[in-house]
Amino acid sequence: MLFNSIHFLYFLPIVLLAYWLLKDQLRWILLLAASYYFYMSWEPIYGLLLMGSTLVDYWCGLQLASSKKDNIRKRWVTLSSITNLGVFFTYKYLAFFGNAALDAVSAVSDQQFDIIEAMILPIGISFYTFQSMSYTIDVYRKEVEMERHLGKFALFVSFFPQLVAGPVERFKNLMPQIHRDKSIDIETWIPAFRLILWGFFKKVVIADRLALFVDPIFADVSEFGAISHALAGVFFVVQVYCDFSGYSDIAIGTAKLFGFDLMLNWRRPLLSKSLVEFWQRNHISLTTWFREYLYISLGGSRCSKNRWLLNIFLVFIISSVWHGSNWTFMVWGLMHGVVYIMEITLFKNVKIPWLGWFYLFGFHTISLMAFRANSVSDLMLMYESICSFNIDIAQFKTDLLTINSFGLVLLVNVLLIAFLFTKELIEEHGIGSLNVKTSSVYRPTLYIALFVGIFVFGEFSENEFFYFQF
Amino acid sequence: MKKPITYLIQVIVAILLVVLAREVVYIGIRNNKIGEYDKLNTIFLKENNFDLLFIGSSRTESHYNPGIFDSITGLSSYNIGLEAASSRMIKGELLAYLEHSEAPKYVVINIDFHNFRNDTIIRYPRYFPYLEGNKAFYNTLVDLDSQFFWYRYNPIYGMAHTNDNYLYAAYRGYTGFVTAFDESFVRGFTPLPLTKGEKVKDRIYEDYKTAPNDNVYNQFAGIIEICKQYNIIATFVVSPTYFKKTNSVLDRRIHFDKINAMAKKNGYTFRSYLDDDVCYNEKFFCDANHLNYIGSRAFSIQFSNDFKSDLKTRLSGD
Repeated sequence: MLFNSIHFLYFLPIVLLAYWLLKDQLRWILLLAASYYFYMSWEPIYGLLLMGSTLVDYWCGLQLASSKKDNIRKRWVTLSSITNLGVFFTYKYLAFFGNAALDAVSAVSDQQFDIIEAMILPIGISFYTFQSMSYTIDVYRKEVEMERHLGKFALFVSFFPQLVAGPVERFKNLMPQIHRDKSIDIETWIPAFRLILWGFFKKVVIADRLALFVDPIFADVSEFGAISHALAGVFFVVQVYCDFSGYSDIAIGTAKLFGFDLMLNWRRPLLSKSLVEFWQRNHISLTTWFREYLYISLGGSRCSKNRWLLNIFLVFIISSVWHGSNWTFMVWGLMHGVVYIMEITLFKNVKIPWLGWFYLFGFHTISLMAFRANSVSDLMLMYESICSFNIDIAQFKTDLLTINSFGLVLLVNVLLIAFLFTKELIEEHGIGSLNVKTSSVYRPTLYIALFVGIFVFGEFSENEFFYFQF
Repeated sequence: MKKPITYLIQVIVAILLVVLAREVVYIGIRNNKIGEYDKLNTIFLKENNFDLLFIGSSRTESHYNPGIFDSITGLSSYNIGLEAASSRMIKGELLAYLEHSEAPKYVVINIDFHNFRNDTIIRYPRYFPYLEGNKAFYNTLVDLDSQFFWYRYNPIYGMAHTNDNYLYAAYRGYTGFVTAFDESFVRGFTPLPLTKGEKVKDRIYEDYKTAPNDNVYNQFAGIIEICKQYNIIATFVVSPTYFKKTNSVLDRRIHFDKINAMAKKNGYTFRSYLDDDVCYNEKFFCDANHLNYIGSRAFSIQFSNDFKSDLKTRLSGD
């Protein structure tokens, strides 16, 4: 079920009303049932995967708690990791590696094989497997106590607001909230609704409108000219941010309505002035997951300088592989790994605010084109085209006709991006800097404008959220 | 915390602004003086007095040129063909026209394979500005898709489906800006380009049956009833489709014979152009189902002459 679907519009009020009408002790049952319903509305059979991941990690958690010996504990945490990553790997990479192996055999033996079709990836699988795995690792590290209540643990893994695209929650944040008794607090509902509204605006107005421009260009790169390629790159940066952070905003706002506080996932990353700062603000729950469970496991910074740099580089490479089996992700990971290491070694004392912003936005655009391109050859074609600086207005007009767009739509998109940046700049420098009178006008005006904007300019074709594919 | 009433007022203001935005968009669309929306305005809003209407789906819209027809027959005609209109839509549209305008003396109802198969509404938001004041057409749309109730009475739901194309149409209505597509419309007729994609002769045509249900014939019977009620002389026409496409529809004769029988029973003319020379010449076709602007010109001349001769015969018979 998508947040931006009519289905969710019925689902949320019904579950919310039932939740607050129920006794505290029964609420987790309702939320668990609602979460499985939410997930299984995509494909019922995927509920079994979710259940499987939950049972394996619950059981491993029990074994970890009851084992004193380190080598036995290590076996249980390894079992949890292998099971979770095994399912994930099977769905995501089996076809890729299988085909590579068959190609190799073909090359040697002259035998021809049918291509192995890639399996459809169960939606959100990497998000809940990461969340579930983090629990067993935390228990193994003795950072948290094991959870004995299977039902509540299942809710921790499947809590529907953040189930399919994060934030990737930590056990120590979410589980105590599941156990805690809650009473309805309408005061938290106002910021929750504001967050949901802003999330929807980012998704259906900004991201989905930009997607109308971006998608056809990346789908058939050779058909378009340099201006379109460059614009598609810039628009995609904003699209993917609004799409994903919009989801997080709706998720966090929805969770708030049920009395839960999810972790902050985005802190205006497009205002960053360096790559290091960018990764402190961008997709925080996943970035910190990689730091806590991968980077630290590799040795973190408590090692030699070269090993430390290698650890950082490996995290970027593994993160790029996690995104998918396309080489374009590897290009993206390599670019980030190399530039990140350059920043923390060669340029760590260089701080030029405005130039920094241009540098980061430019780099992010170039690297994200790799992330979005369908193939490395498409990517190279785009880079070549942009570097040619061929400003062909006639070609651009043809491009607009090809994607069924026109100047006015383009202008609206540019204005929306300007609006996004203005809002984020105001927030960055603190709404508190506005006086009470200005603030009392600014807030309602903004949210009324968002509400109207969603219905006037929104794209309601139930586009999936971009990060569902990972 | 502010008083709940403050938030309630803000929500009401937001909803009212969406309602206002909807009205601004719809007024803009209704303000179009040329092109597709001028045609919809003509059908659903204006008071007209045409002698003849061409009615049907996209084949009607792109095959019958009222300019040529009027110059040959001396009548005044308008093409109210709508893309993807099913038999039910055709009936609803005719009723909507008659609610505002004087009944025409004649209607030319184009019959095609599409009428037998599809009962869906494409590009449905284009009808939103015309839901008020067109009871018969609104009822037709609700019959086809119950969501039209919400599109009409829930401005928020309606606006959610109103995308850029309709905002742009509103903009054109306010500014008078005209696109090439708008300019191509001549009294409801819009000519099609020479080709669209694959050449018609190279396409593979798989055999199929249209297998219409009784509802389709009931709709045509309903159209005949309306014509009788308003003293309109109807002519049922099957305009050209590319011969390979025609031959692929295995049950075509059964259905056209049925319509022919219904027409004859009520004293109306039925003409089929499926065996005409034009159907065998790929140069006349934009795609297998639609004539291009050269084909529509040739067909319009031929049909206008045939209609004129039918008219003479009918008048001399009277």
